[in-house]
Amino acid sequence: VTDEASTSLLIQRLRAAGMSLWELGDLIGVHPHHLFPDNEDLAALPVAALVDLASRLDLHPADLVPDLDPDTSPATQDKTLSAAGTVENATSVSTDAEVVLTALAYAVDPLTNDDLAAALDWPLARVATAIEHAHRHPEQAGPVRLRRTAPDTYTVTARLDRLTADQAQRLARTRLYRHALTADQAQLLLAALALNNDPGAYRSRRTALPDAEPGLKRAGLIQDDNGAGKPRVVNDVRYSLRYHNQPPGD
Amino acid sequence: VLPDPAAQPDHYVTHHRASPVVDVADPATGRLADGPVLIIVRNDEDSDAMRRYLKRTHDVRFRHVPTTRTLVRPTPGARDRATLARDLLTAVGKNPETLDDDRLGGTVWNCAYAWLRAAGTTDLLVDRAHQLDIDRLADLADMARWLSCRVWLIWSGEGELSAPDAAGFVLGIAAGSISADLLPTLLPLPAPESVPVPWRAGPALPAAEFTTFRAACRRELSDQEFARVDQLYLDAAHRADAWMVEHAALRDSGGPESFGTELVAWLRDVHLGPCASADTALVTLRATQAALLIRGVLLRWTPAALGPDPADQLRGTLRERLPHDLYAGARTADAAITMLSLHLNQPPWYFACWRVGHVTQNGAILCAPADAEHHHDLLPRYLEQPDYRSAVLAATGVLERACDHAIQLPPPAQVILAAHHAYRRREGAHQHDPLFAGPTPGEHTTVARMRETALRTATRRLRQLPPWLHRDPCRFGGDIGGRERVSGWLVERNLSVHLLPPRLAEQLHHPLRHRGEL
Repeated sequence: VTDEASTSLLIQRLRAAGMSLWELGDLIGVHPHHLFPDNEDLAALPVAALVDLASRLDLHPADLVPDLDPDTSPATQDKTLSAAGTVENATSVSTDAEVVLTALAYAVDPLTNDDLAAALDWPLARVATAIEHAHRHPEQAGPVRLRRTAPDTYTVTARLDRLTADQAQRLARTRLYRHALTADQAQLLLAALALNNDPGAYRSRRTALPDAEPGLKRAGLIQDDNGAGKPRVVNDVRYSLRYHNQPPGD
Repeated sequence: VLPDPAAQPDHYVTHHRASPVVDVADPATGRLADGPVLIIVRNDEDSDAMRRYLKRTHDVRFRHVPTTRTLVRPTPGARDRATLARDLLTAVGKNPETLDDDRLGGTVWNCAYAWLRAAGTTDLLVDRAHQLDIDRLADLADMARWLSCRVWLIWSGEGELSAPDAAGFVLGIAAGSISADLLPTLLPLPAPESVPVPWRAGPALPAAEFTTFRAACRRELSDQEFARVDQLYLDAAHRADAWMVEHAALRDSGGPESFGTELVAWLRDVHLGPCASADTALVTLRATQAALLIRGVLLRWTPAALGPDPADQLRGTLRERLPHDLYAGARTADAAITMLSLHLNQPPWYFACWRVGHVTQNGAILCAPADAEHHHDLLPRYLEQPDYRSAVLAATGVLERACDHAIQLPPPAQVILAAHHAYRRREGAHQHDPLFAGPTPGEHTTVARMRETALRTATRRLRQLPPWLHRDPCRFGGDIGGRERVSGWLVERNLSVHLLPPRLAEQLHHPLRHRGEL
């Protein structure tokens, strides 16, 4: 991989995202061959793929294909500044707070002030000031909020005041519904349908496949409130498998 | 034995008598004479009406490609056979700009024959045939004999009128003559091709897993949209039910490999691959998954790594412009190998198992060899390695060997296989000869050569480089971490097949029987 200015940005972002070209290609639906930075094929990608690629790496499409619109590219406007230089030159507390929030979102796991100071290579006081500023100006964090999980330990999570309870529940359900059944879960779901009148047989299957039932319950496909070995397959599933003709209610 | 015109010296037909005269059409019924026959169309006036008729015959808006009626316009002044063959190839829809790249050499005449044969040519119209010399007329008579078609020679000028008779006589081809004004009556212009209905985007379908897909559709779609989607869902589920009834015994006795092979072939060629749109494919898949589960088969789909429109990846690879772009090339073997590789989503492994007799004449079906030898010496060594086999089985549950099951090709691709079959037969290959031959007659070509052919054709003609066609070792990931990338129809769609304990399925009533509808 070359370190030329025109190609290094993609590689830098790729490394920052912790992905390989193969993983990135899979996410976008193109062969990694087309993503190789010194390959002219990048310009031959479909527009949708190019926009998706830029979006995934927080780039402007012109950063990938300079011919697109070099004048409006954030990278070309700031190309004299390196990533480190940007931080060094940005002294406002507001910018510091933004960097801290981004670092917390990036890390996923909660971080202490010390961790942040070490990772960002800042004095501890600068981190504390930035955290303080982020607390006082919650709107700066947009759709996420700074949360303290333990003394001097922070993370960011989605703000809770924008979605209704129903919307949040449906979002959770969508995520679970999308999860493809494993072979063990499929076997236990089949057992729940077939062995409804034989709790003993169902329990022995459940014992043989210990991880399957919790997954099915979390996905909301079966309900077994008392654990007696007579799980109820929910109506959504029975309707989709054609055991019901009447659609389930909302 | 009929003489081979190619082996004859030039002007060999000039001294022969005229061929028997034939009635071009039955006066009572108007039925045209069966081929092979040469028909001179006397266009002495070189009329505008004839020009318009020929233009309309050739107009792509009014004909399918390939078509059974082909108009060839010989290059003015060219006297050699190769140029006439290239004119024929252009007439059947080959790109004249890339014919040079195909480097057909001495095979050009056979290629022209093969594509005309695959198109099911019944009528070959030759414009300004009076400008052809007698040897080229003899070539056309030879083509009429091989194709058993009618050759209409549009005779618009001076020319030696006895030449076609003489050309046909040597090969025993009957000849006839009509006036130009009769041609539109005997060979009416085809009706305009129906304009395809523009594709209409359907409603956004839920991303729910198959266990809750139908319920999610009911909840998310309008009544009208749901009625349409549910009809599709139930139809697909019923087809899957019927298929499972036929193959239940194989699941129980044949084991996962035989059952999986059957299932992949059915999904690829019949049930899922030919779906017209991504929405249809998604509904079909979800219904099929639901129908298979209650018969004890989990068809698992993990769309996460399939890009922004995963449902579109479910459909067959040979669709839209792709078969037509492949058709534009003149080399039959190149087009057929690439087409099969794309259809199966794997390199041309095991393609050496097929023989000429395994192809139906219309190119629709490629039968599975009953006694496939697999030609292990031609295959990459890693294919038979336990770790590679276990990697494939872990990914999809099915090995997907190309020669294990009959392949049913989508209609636009059938002509390509039919053309290669005709080409091999024209070369003199017998039923038991290799379908894809090497440079030495009777020998199989190698996997490396076939892969190179497919790779070159896909890159240059289709502007595509499927990952399974990479050379190995490959900088871009034909191998990953020193391990070969697994490939196959299921792999490319992130589908896998898992057999569940058969006793569970036996204990479960079928839903339609459960409700008394079966």
